[in-house]
Amino acid sequence: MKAGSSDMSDLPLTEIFAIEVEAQREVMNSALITLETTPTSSKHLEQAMRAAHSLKGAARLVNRDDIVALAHGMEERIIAAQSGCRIISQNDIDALLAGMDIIASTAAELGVNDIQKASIEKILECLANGLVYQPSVSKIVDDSPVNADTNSTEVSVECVNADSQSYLRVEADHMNRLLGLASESLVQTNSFSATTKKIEELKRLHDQISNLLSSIAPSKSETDGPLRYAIKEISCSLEKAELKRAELAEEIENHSSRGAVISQRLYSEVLSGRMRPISDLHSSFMKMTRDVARALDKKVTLELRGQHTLVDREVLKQLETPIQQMLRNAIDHGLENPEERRALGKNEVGRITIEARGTNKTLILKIYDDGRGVDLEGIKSKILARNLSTEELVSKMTDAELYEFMFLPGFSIRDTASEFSGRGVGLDIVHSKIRSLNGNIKVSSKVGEGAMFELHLPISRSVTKALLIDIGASLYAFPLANLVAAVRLQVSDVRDICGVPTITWNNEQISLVDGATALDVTAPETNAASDLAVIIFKSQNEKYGLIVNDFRGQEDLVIQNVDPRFGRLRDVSAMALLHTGEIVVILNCDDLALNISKMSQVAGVTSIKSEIKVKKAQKRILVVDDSITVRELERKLLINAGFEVQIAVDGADGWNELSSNKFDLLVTDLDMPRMNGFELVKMAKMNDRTKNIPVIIISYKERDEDRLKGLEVGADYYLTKGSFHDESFVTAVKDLIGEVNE
Amino acid sequence: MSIAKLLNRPLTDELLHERSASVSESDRPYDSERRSLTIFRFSEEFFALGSEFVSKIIPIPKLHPIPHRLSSDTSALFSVDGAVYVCVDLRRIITGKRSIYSQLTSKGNIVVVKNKSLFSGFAVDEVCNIQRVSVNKLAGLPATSVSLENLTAVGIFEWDGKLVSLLDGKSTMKVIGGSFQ
Repeated sequence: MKAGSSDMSDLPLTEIFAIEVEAQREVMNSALITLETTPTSSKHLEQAMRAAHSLKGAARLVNRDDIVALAHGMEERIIAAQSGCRIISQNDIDALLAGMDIIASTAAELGVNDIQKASIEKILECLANGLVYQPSVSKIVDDSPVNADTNSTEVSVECVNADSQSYLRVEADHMNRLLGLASESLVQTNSFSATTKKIEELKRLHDQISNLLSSIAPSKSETDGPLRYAIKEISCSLEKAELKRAELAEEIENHSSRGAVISQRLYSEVLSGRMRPISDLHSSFMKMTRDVARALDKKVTLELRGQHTLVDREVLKQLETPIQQMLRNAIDHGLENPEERRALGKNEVGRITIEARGTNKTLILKIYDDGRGVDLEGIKSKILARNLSTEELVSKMTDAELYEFMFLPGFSIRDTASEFSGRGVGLDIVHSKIRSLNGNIKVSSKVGEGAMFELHLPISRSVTKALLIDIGASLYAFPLANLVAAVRLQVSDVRDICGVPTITWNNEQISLVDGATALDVTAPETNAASDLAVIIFKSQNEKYGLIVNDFRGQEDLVIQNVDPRFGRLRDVSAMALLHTGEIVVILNCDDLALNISKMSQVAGVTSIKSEIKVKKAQKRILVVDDSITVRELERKLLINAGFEVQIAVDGADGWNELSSNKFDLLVTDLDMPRMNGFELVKMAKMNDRTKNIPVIIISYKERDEDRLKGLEVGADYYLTKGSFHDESFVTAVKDLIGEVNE
Repeated sequence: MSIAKLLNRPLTDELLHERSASVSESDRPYDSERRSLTIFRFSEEFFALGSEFVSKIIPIPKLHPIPHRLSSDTSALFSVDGAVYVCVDLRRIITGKRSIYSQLTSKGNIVVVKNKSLFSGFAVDEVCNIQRVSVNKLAGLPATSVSLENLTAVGIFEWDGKLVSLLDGKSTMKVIGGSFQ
């Protein structure tokens, strides 16, 4: 074992052995994978031999005779290859890798079980005789969901590596406390500025005294000896005091600057202590790629670019599973087998690239291959087969919208599952994991050329970029990952729709909620403002608006977890401290979105009920639209205007309603499943009972031929969906059927 | 046996004994019946808590409200030593009178307590003293004393002419922990 200056003196020997095994495993696996393509590479043979030799020695120290025997057998085989007696073969590499796996999995145990013992014997036999190694128990790739929660008490381990870097084992909690103290030291050095200001105040007082003295001195100095003397003494003392003050001010300034620099460096060092290069995962990816490719009889090469990109170790740990899943998918679904590739004129060895880049606190990971690309037709077929959407809608979906279906739980293009993919679980896990890290993922593909998964993640879980906002008298933070916009609006821009304040932003109707009300915190009394500061954020593809007191700017916040005794705090994700010592509560956007939705619904329902109480013999309108948002908006506008509204979700539903109930007006969309708007209007006009019901068509389609067709089938008005921001819709309704109670 | 060197002078046995004796000697014999108590007050009522439970005493900093917990006993946050902790309304638990958040930002102290490696704090009007008190001087609680909700008071004693109720530390910590729910 290399004698580094690692502080492992308090660890039991078995634990130290486990650390040693992990380090040697990295070396061995890396060397063996290279030897697969270059079996006579003396450098890699030497590396593998040294790793086996070190393991043998270490195992002897901890009385693990089983591992001693296995490591010895591995060492002997490699030495034979080094001497040129037997070139190392694919079978040998399989057996050596399997042997390494057994050593790693049992390093922390007291011994091996019977199955492992049998495996060791088989491996040794294969190595001695050049046989094909077949494992006793087949290795199953684990697709089960991994808990996204991190264990804050997990020990962070650094292994001694061949570069003779010295490492120290530090508990994760310890690092968190260090980070807290470093943060506090920044706060304390910042407080020097307040002391400096007080000294400035001292100077002002001093100058005041000097001026007063100067004003009385000339008139008295001629005749009053003692007074003149006293004034002179005071002036001297003042001068000395000023010199001292100036000295003190300079000293404090120097200490403050120096302190600030050191605190900032301490803070950065502690933060960077959590960072690891992404190449830490390289070895496990290489091995996994090799194993899966071998199992599927494919030839694959894996390249990692940007391997020195630093990532928070927590993020890195969480990334391992999703990246492995994407690699499995790429090999299984994406890459063709060697014969197919040759037939297509491609290199028979498929290429997968992982490209990592850190920019402005964001990690950008691209995983792409040169395979067949994403099968969009397959996705469409699966969507229709599972009744997830209609044929018409599917035909209109963009590629990006179709790719989104791949991340749905249980969604797979494959009819049968293999060991590696096809259960519809893998990409769902990827999506969940990336979301739990506050990241996002997008897919792009070109048929016949390959597919790419692009992940955007915060580089550190410890630090998050957020917008600071004032709500009530306190400070909150909004994660930038969910923020759509921070806007200032005039109060007059806000419309009241069924008791819910609503704004139009980018042609979308967005409900607003007051921040202090949403969070149930006390708001100080303020004068009515003429403008509003509004946060627009998104959650689950919906947008919401939160009225705040003010914006304070963007900040990188070091996250502190909520006291675990709370369990889960509603609307709260975590906390942080600013460099000024101010506490910031980081908001949970998904919770907040749910909260706002509930508040909006309650307000709407309350308003509807009160409306119904007042109005009698209202005119009834049937609103038919397959879009929930449009339907609800139309309904609210009409209810607000005093009408009674019934809704239908598509043309067929609309016809059912129309034919069985009495309505004064039909408002319908055009593009709908089961029966489109043209068909619905035609049917209504052909029926004796409904032919006289006036019709308004509301559609996104603005072409003249659509308008003409709408009017030809019998519609009385043809409006576009952009007309909701003004009164034209309600005006058209009243124009056709009059006021509410006429 | 090698002779240890102290400041480049050999450390003789005689010197070693002399130094050890002066370090081990205390002013008075250790009294296992005297306890260090942190005395604090809510308005005009005085209470004490075993100092072994007290981690730190700080002036009240600016408190941050916790969303949706205005009416609970854990409604605010404070920071100390680079960490953020919860402020528990022990005043409400003991006296039945809720602390008004705005009052807490003016003056007083926060007593930071530690229970099983978890920190929290409670705001008081004043930490009066940290005093060693003889257990023998504790008297039983009078029947007419204010009921301490879910808390056990082990007795009362006199300090500086005032009557102080001594809270049982373990049950106080338990109540503080329970207030998070």
